[in-house]
Amino acid sequence: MEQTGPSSFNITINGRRVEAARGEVVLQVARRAGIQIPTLCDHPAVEAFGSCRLCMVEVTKEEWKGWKGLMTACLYPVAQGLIIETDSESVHHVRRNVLDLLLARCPDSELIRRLAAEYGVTRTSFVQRENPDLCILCGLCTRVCETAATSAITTTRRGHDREVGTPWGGPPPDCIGCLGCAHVCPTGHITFEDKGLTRTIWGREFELQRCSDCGKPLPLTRDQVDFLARRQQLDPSYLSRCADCQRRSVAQTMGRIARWHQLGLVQEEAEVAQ
Amino acid sequence: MSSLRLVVQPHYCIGCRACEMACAFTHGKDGQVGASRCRTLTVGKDEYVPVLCLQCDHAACVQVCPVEAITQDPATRIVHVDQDRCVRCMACTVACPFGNMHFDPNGNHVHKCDLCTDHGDYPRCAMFCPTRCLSVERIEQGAP
Repeated sequence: MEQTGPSSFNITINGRRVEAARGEVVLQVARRAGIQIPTLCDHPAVEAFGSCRLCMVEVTKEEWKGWKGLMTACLYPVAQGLIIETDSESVHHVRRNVLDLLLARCPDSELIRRLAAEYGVTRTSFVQRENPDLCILCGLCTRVCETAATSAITTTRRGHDREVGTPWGGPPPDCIGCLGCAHVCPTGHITFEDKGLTRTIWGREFELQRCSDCGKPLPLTRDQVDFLARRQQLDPSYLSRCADCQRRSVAQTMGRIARWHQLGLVQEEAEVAQ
Repeated sequence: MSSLRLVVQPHYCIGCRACEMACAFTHGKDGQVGASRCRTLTVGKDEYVPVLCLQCDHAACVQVCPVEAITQDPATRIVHVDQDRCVRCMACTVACPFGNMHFDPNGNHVHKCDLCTDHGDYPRCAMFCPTRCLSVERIEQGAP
């Protein structure tokens, strides 16, 4: 791989000259230039993975004498003199195929149906999967869990049987119930429920932390509070009161200071504080 | 290079909530009114306090975020949430010791006061405050 040469240069995307820096990938540069490339498994919080294959673009260079390659924009590093096509016929062809396959896998997904329709695929030409669910196996949930939490979920088994799951299929012992996986899932496959003081996800029940002032459930589980306090090196007392109570107490303090101010007591208070 | 600081003087507040209205209208989208980042609380008889983000240095929300979606701009010192990076774990809404990180269930995202950086560079709440309870101070770079 090229490691020498200038740190920033121009590349061509769809006939437009666009500035790029060494170390960037095609997707980053295109997005910055306002050129849309569809993605499913991309998320800024995690490293690119290239599993959904939807961001395929055509890559070539002057000196490649007409040779062109189809590459994933999320992983392909930019280089000087690169010529990218994001909407050519061969790019559309490969995206149509990808969406055709995804439609066979997840015929009930709104997002997949909408994307497929955009590329002119309304019915899959493959055999539709029996008992389909909404998981496209992009692995975004497992990567977010790895980055933001505890790697409690992963893809399990192989081939046809590959699926996102928990150790031995049971309630995941390392899960902290942060809901990161559910919120980033592009198709909404991962479901959860918050009911009273209990949160249920991946077949495990979590107890929600309660506000130490008013007793209302916080949107964090007890395991999540322990995890965040440890990993982010934050005093657990920061994660014990709800926003309403925090706001009320800061307003009361500020109101008290304002009252002193009106009574001309602020100076004395400052002296007392010293 | 100077940065903005919002100055709150609660003894001037008359509880008119013009700040909340200005904020909600400024942060609306697609012709819809948004959620206010500023909350005016009643703390006594005719005593009101507008509570909004203090743009802390070493903020708890920045520290608690497990995906580094919340950052402080070193030049303007405004604490900013990167909505694309956020995984909606809600830790920041609890961690803020002043309750100034809000969650908008309609838009399904967290939001906080951005000092109207994307809306003309002058905080609208201060612009509409009739009593100068909320006002803006420019701080030169390097000053405390």
